[in-house]
Amino acid sequence: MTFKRVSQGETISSVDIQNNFEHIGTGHRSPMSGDTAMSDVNGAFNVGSLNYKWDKVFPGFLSIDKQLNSNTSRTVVRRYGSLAWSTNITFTALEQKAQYSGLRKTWNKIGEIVTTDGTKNTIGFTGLNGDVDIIYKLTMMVVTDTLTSHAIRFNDIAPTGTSSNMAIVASTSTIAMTNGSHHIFKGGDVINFLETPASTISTGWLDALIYAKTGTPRMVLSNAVEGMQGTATNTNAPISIRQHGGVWHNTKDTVTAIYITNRTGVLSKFFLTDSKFQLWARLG
Amino acid sequence: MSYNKFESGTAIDPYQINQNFHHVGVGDLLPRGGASLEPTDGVNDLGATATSYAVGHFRDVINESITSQIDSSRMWNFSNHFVLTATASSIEFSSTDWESGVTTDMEIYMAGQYRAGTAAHFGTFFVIDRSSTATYYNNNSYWSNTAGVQRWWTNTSGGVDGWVLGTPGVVIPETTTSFITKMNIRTYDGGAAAFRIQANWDMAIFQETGVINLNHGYGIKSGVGQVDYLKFVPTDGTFQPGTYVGIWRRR
Repeated sequence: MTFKRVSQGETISSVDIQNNFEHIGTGHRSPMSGDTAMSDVNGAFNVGSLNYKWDKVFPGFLSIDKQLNSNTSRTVVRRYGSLAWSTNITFTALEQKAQYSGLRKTWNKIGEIVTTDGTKNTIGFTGLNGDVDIIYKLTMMVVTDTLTSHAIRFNDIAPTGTSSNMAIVASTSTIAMTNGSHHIFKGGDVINFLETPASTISTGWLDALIYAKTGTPRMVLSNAVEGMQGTATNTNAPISIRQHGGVWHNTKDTVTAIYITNRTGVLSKFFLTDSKFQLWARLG
Repeated sequence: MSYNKFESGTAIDPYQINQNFHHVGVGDLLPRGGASLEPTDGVNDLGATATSYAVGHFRDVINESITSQIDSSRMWNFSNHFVLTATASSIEFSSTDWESGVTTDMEIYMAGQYRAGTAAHFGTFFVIDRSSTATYYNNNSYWSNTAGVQRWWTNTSGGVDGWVLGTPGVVIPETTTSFITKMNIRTYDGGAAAFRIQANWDMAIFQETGVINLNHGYGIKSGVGQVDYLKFVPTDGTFQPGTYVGIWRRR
């Protein structure tokens, strides 16, 4: 239904007036513009405003081009570099800041790193607040070609407190417990939550649940499939499946950073290209 | 563009009529009210339950209120969470904590510390559904401890209206244990198989001198309707301050 502009000195019929109301009020409700035709325009106007909100919206389907957010966001710094495990993490370069908006009522991806070369053995997310976010989910797919194991490290320089961990590992012929002698590692490290074998190339997949709030020790619970090979010449089945639990015996320091690093102390053990790391949280 | 109110005995010219059309139709689509169609805040709805829009096309959707929520069956919705501020011998939830009327699945995250009672072991946690006539069906677990012991443990005895978190007989040399767990629970009537609730979880128990990993699976038999009550009760001992419980749901 087209819109007819009402003009001085020009008669307008009742049909045109009726059409004008129908133009505005019936059918699909699209944003309109223009003094003469009130034609549909794309992306120029809002539904509601910061001061004047609709109470509820009842869509059967919601199509959103960009983002669904609650004006709640985190500025997370993605870091990556090449460090020896024994080295305190003191990145000064290779930082990328990104603001992630999201919803308070569901999981939001607040950080993602995809490696673009094979020269980094440590990646991390900083700008976190474990007391607000409380629980993080970490998903990672690591591509490697060297034998190594990986650690989660909380916070930056010289985290205080001890840590311990344990895993149940099922391989091709055995199910066994590892680290049963209860090792104490560098403060802030929860180690051996993903191990990768020596091979031409293989991948490891891991999902981790991280409890980060102060008041109790910080804990990591993870499941991993290790040593998957999927190339034409390397078709071995996964070498092991690992359930891992680790704890950082520190109840006070707020978690502000989470790093994933190899713990062998060998700088050449890198995450290869297309290793992918995602950090998820509910934005409280 | 202001709105010109139509009034008896007052002339209104064509320009003003155009203004009225533009006021309503051009620019931001705002909720309006009153004789002058002024913007109003938080009163009116866009669509209704019985007359919803088919598809909403937006570049961004901003949902500012801390109490508001996006409630979708296609994603996990955060319902509520609690942090104990004092020692507790049990932790209880009712359906108001997770809006059970439209809930089909729940995820519960727990992390914190537990102090054993007279026996120096990690207590068995019974999770109880008050409204159920269910019987404790079975509980299977695989666990491993720092002494190198791995064990498959199963129990199919009935008579307990709940199920078990933790494994009886796991002796821990310390009285305070930290733990983290994620539970998945189906909250509706399970149909022919009569499993009203079935769930499994992964669990790790930690302490200063050792770590124990556990995997659990369990089921509750029979019952009608949705779960509307959960209670975590250790056989002895208490949950310590700082213990966290987060409830998520999907409908």
